[in-house]
This record gives sequence, C-alpha cells and structure tokens, in this order.
Amino acid sequence: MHVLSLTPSCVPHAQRTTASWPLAFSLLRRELTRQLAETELNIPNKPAIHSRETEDALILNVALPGVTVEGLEITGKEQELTIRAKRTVDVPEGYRALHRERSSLEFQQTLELPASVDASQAAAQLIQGQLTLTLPKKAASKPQRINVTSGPPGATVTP
Amino acid sequence: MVCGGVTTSPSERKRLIMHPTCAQNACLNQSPVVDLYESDSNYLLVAELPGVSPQGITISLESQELRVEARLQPTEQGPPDFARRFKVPREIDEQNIEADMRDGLLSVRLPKTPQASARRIEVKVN
Repeated sequence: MHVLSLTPSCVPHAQRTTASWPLAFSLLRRELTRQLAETELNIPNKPAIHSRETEDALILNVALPGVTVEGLEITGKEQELTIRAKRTVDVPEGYRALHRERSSLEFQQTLELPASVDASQAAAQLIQGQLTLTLPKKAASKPQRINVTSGPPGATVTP
Repeated sequence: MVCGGVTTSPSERKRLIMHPTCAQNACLNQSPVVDLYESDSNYLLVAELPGVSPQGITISLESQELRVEARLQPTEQGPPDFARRFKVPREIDEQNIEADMRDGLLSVRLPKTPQASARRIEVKVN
C-alpha cells in the first residue's frame, strides 16, 4: 500500500496523464527519460556557469553549493582561466540516508576567455555556494568616448 | 524503482517515510538537488541552493507537506527561483523545526515527537 502511494507522486506533472498506464511502463519511461536527461546535461560534474558582460568587465557565475574556499582553486593566465572545485558529501554523523541526490564533486574546467579580458586580473568571490568571477576588460577594449567637436562656422565636409 | 535519481529496493521503500513529492528536474525546472536523512530523533533535509541568502528562503509545513521555496533576490515577487515539496511523517515536532544556511546548502532539521523517538528506541532494544 505504501509503495503505491509513493509512486504517483514521483511521476512528473508532464506524465500525470499516463497515470492509468501499467505502473511498470510509466516507471520505465520515467527512468529512461531521467537517464537521457542526465547523459545530456551531465548533471553530476558540470556546475552551471552563467556569464554576463558589463562595460568594464566580464562576470561569470558558477554554482558550487557545498564548496568552501578551501576546496576551490582558480588559476588565470591571460586568456585562460581554470577552476578546480572539490567537495565531499558524507552522511551526517548519527544519521542514515533515506534519499540521496547529492554527490561528492571533483570538478575542473578551463575556460577560454575573449581577448578583451585579462584573466590574471580576475577577482573571485564565493558567497553562499556561488562563485562570482569578475574579469576586468583591458583598457583598449572598453568603449572609449569620442568627443565630437563642431567645425568652424561655414566649414563644409568634403568626402 | 527510482525516485529522484535514487534506486531503492521494495523493502527500503517501505522505510522511506519522508520523501520528495516531485522528482528532481521533474515538477519544476529549478527543483533543488536534495538529500534526506533520518536519525533516531530527527529527520534532516539538505538542499542545494547556490547563491541564495537566508532571507530568500521560505519554508512552510502544512498537512504533512513541507514546502521549500527560494529566491535569489529576496525582495522580488513572483515565482521562486527554486522550489520543491516533500511529504513528511505525521510524528514531527512542528514547533521545533530548525533551518540553517551555509555555503549554499540549506539544512532543515525536523525533530520527531518524543513519542515517535521513544517508540523507535523500544524497537531497537527488542
């Protein structure tokens, strides 16, 4: 009885319409969908990286929940930035696991950066498991304001 | 059977009294990744919420459903950035639930009622 009451709640909304299917079929389908999604996204070892650009810098956000400053190493040289992150997930003392989705992580990624930024000037901040990397743009790549002067009265523009 | 990426045998399933009511990446695109643990006196939920400050978290418990919602911008209205629901056992001491946020990990400790803890110890002795 308990088994049956547990199952439908695990079926995603999108598949609720198939609830009248034999249980085995819907479970199999769900499992295949999940495995496919995991293969494509490579969930366990690829933290999400989001980037955005401001006038002065390129900003990268990397989701690293459970990673502390000690478990993080970032190296940068000119156009290359390498992030190494490590965390271990242990069952807390005195507890037993009921359900586990989190896993220990050992992650390394080298990012190629555009020529406009200098990775050696990067600033990194880890706040609540989110790494923010600020990569300043080289002066030459920042938008330069070009002053417009008005010509002497009566002057004409010649092509 | 698989519930949110964890394979359990039928005998294990019967013990599984606290569980997510939607699978990871199923009900919502932004379901946080979670672990659930149990001790003799507590249940413990650990959820990954990177970049969320304690102010951005809302936890509610109603009719045995624990709901965790998190917003990256605490002041913003609208749908939460992360949300997930859990079925919890009846024997929870609702007044003493504690939550803690560290390194992007939310820990929610749900103490069992004294009766529930005592019952469990009894079984152990026998």
